[in-house]
Order: sequence, then structure tokens, then C-alpha cells
Amino acid sequence: MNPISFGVSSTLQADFDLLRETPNLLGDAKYTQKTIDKLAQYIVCRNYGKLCLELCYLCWPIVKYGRQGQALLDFFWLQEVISPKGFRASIEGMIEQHFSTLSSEERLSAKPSIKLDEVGLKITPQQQSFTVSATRIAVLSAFLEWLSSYFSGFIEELELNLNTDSEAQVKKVASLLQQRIYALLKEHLPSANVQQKFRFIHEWKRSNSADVRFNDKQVLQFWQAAFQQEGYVKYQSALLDVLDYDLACELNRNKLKVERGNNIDEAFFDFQGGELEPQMGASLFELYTDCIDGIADMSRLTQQPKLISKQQYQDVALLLEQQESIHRLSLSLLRATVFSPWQAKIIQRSRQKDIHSTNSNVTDLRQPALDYDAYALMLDKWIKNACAAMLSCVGILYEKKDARCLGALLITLSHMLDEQSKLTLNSVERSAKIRDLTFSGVSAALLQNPLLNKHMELAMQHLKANNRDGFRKGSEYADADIYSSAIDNLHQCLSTIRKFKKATASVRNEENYRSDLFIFFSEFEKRHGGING
Amino acid sequence: MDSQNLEPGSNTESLFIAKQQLRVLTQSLPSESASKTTRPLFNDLVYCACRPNSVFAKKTLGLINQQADLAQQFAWVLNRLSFTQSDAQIAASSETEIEERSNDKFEIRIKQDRLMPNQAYITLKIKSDLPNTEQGLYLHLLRDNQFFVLHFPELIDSKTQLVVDKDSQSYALLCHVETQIFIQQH
Repeated sequence: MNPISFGVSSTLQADFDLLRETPNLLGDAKYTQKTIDKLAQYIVCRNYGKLCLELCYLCWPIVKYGRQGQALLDFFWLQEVISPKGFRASIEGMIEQHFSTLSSEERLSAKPSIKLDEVGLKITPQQQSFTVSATRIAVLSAFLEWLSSYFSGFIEELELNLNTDSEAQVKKVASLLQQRIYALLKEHLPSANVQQKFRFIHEWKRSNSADVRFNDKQVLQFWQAAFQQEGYVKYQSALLDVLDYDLACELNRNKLKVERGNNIDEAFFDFQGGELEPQMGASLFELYTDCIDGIADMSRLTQQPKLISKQQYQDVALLLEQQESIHRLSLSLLRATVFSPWQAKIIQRSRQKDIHSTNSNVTDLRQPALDYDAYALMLDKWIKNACAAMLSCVGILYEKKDARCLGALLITLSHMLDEQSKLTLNSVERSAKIRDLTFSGVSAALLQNPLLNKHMELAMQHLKANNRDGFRKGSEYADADIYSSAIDNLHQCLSTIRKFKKATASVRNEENYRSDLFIFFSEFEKRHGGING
Repeated sequence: MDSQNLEPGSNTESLFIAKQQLRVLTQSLPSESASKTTRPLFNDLVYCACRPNSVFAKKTLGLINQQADLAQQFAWVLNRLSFTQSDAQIAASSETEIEERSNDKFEIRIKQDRLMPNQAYITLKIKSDLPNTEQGLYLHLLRDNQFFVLHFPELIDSKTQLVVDKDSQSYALLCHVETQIFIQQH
């Protein structure tokens, strides 16, 4: 993927990668994927005005009341304050150290005066207060990290400029920072190439269809029509861009429905021409929140604990990432899942051919590895594997004597059992009030219900046989919460996959496959040539 | 279709661009990508100062030693984080080698090994109280914009010692008048 064609400089892309990997002092990743994705969201939605202001207000008391010359370094890098809990503890320590010896009058007249409330850090320079919520600390910390890598000497500069009594000065620092970021992003988010893509899609849509959104037929027609257009060699690229186009249009149509909310950007800063309107940026930001959080959760499934392999994630990644479009463009997604890996192989071989003209690679590329039916069968197998991973998690919860194991088992069984058995379990669930049970209550419920008991034993067997990261016998298991949310995430995956299977049931027949195969074969032949070898 | 709102240059276009950019920034680069290793983050510099023995820190130090502006930033970090530091010394004569340095917080003495002429003892003495030194101390050495790090074992009676080869880089740096030294706790 060439980042420029998506409007991002390779420097900026590399920086976000570094942010995901940079270690804390224990050697683990300092920021979660979710935090970095959230930061990306703020940046591309041009929603950073509020971040600038929050960061400056937060740093103000830290600089004023911390160790002179290195307060920010202490707070963000040595103490690594990054969780809401750590944030509270650290601020409490700061208040204790700096304010406990002052009289109440002196405390009130401190500029700024600070206190911790149930939301977070309340900063009161005079009458009006500004609160930095404790839950914002991770993203603010990552934001400062990102800025420090661009502006050399930035920490020192903040220390100097925020050592002040004046709130107006803090706002000025925030405003100047916003301007600098604006200039930075002009360079690192070059939009010309993406603009061209947008205009190309827009023109095609306007002259070919009166419908509001693309349908399956139009996605294919668009890709066929775009065969000489840069960026649309791959079917999947065309599909993803069309989905982005539809989303952008829909968002714009709905913009009046979006609540304005309290937009700090507009209150404090002049809107600069050429940027996304703050209001639109904010609504785009809101819209992305759920989808981004969801995807971050999903891609974590391949990490620790390792629930599925990277390949398994790849096999269904498109469905999980585009779950919103499963009903509307199910056939387009099915085509992409089946024909795109085939196209990738064809492209790979044509590149190899360029290097070694006498290539003896005889892999059969005349058709995809899986047809529609075979892909559906692969999904069934995927569901089975995921259920096994879920059972292992249930086993861990049981071993940890965590009462959530029973609820987790029921969720898992909802993907494993036939309808009749599920009905039986539903009645169990209703009568036992599972969520209120303690662990001894769970044990009693298991003894009373042979079906549940049998599957809990099965869960323990699965755990015993599981040799993946995070499940190995004798190794230390992580916090129970992680396994519990892993089950929720896999449950979500399986629901999406089932939804996809159902949505494609009627189109997944031999006749459609043959006709699609013919279309894709001739397109690939046209684009890459010599598929027959 | 609401064509008025869909014209190029419109909000819709900006939204499309933002969505595409987001896709790039939320995806990881393929691991073989070279651009990954060009410029460390500020956090990497702090990590490199605090955990210099790790593989990651050694890689970062390699990058710092190639880029003058990074070296400057790293010196700033060390300056803030170190327990004490010793600037380049003024030699008594035209000699560039010195056998001791000290300030109010530390003292370093370099003594030749009589039995092994190729080796020298480096003794580091800390003059003020320093808690938690079971894991020893790090000496970050800086000369000509190049950093080098040396680990000293646990302090006993405020002292710790290291034997170094006389033809080693660490020996040359420790003896050189122009070397700047930052002493840091583990």
C-alpha cells in the first residue's frame, strides 16, 4: 500500500507504527492499539483543537507544582502516568506535596488551584474551572508523545511556557500549538491523490446511477470501468473506496441530524479554511468511535492471549472490518473474500516473472483457492476453532473461580449447540439468574444441569490441550477480565460471520460462482495477463 | 442524489479523505518495512536512557549516534535523568588522558592492573546517599556526539568497580578529557 495514495506521508505512518510499539519501562507496549487508533482519529478528523487545550491545561499544574525543569518528564515518562488510576494517584500525590502545607486561603489563591473530583483533575485559575477527565490520560499522553517526536525540544518549551500564573498564557500556548499542528498536517496529510480518487468515483456515480448508494452490481461495474485508473487494479481497493465514498455521502446527508455538542474548537479557535469544518470533524469522529474500537478489539485476538492465528484473522478480516455493510453489499464482500486473495497471488507471480524470466513456478492460478461453497465451509471451520478458543477461556475463568465462567459458557454454547439444546439452556438461564450467582452458586448450578456440567468439563479439556500464548499450563494466566472480554469479542466475531453466512446464503450458488469466475478471470487476464501460465 | 453537497471540495470530499487517511494510520506497517527504524520517538530516548542494556535500547542508541539532533535531545534527557554528571575536563597539560575525575557527588579513579598490563581497574565512588543501587549504575559516556554506555555492578560501601581492557573503547572514553559522563541509577 502506498500511503500517499491514501493521503498520508510515510513519515506519519511510520510514526504511528512506532507509537504502537514503543515500550514502557517494563518493556511492554506503552500505549494500547486503541489509544493510538483514537489519536489517529483525532488527527485525521482535524479534531485536535480540544486535545491541545486539554493537554495544555493538564500540563500547567504539573509544570507549576512538579520538579522544576523536569516535571513533564517525571509525570509522563518516568512515572508513566497512563491509566486513570495512576493519574488519580499521581495528582493526589502532587496535591499532597504542594498544597498540604498551605492555608486554605493560600490554596484558593493559588494559580491555578487544583483538586481531584469524581471526573478527574479540576483546574481553577479564577472563577471558571477546566476539568481534565482521568479517562483522557492515555490519549493525552500519546498526543504529547507524538508532538515531542515532531517538535524537537517540545517538552522543554512547554516547561518554560507553562510556568505561569496566567490562564490567558495557557490558552495562547494551546492556540499556537494548534496552528503548528495545522502546518504540520498540511505536509503530512497530503490530500491531492485522494481528492482525485474521490472525484473519479463521484463522476462515475453521477453518470451511471441515480441511486443514493452503490449496490453489488455497481461496485463490480465501477471496478471494471476503472481498470485504467490508478489505484483500482485490485478489486478490493475499489470496493473499500466505494464503501468510504458511500459513508462520506451518508454522513454529509445526516449532518443536520448530528447534535452539535459542546465544541471547544469553535469556542476557542478560529476555524482555518481548507480544513474539515469542526462540526463535521466532530461528527465523523463520533461515527468512527465504535467502529474503530471494535476493530482494535478484534485485531487483539491474535495477540496475548492468542485466541486465533494471524492467518485466521486475515481470512475474515474484511468481514469484521466492514460489518456495517454486510447486509447491503454482501455479494461484493463475498467476491472480495474469494477473488481478492487469488488476485494477490496473480500479482505476486507477475512480479516474480519480471525478476526471473525463466520462472518454473507452476502453481495453478487458473482459479481461486476456494470457491463460494468452500469459503462457507471454511467459515464453519473458523466458527468451530473460535468456539474451542472460547471454551479454553471459559476453562480459565472456572479455574480462577470467577463466577463469570457460567455466563461465558452459555455464550459459547449459543454458537455450538443445536436449536433444541439452546432452548433448554435458555430456560436454565432464566431460572438461575446467572449474572447474580457467586462461584459456589455456579458450582451448584453445574451439578444440577448435566448438559452444562458436561460442557464445563469439555472446557477444562480444551484448556489442558491448548498450548498457545496465554493458555499454556504452568504459565501465569493474565487477569480474568482479559479472558472474559476475549469471549465477548469472539462472540461478536462469530455473530458477524453468521450474519454474513445468512446474508450470502441465496447468492452463494454454483451458477453465480461460475459467472463471477468468468468475469474476474477476464478482468485479471486483462490487467495482469497470462493467468494460464 | 443530493448533488449540491457532493461537489468536489465539499464536506463529503473532506470526509472521504479523512476516512482513507484513518485507514492508513490504524494499520500496522509490514514488519519488513525499512522506514520503521529511521527516527525514534521521544519515549524511545527515555527508554534508552533508563534501560540501556536492552536490545531495543541498543538499536535506538545506534540511531542516536547517527543523527546529531537526536544526540542533542538524548543529552537533554540524560541531563535531566542522571543522578550527577561530569562535563568535559580541562587537562593540566597537553595530555588528553586523565586518571581521575570527581565532583561533590562522585569520584572515578582509573588504576592500572599490575599483574595484567593490558587491563585497568575503574573504581566509582558515590559520595552522597543513593538508595536502590542493588542493580548497579549506568555511566553514559559522550564524546564527539557519540554515546557509549557502561554498566557498573552493585554498590558496596558506596563503591563499585569494573575491570576493562586498555584497548577497549570504554577505557579510551573514560580516560579522555573531553568525555562527558552522566551517572544514572538502574
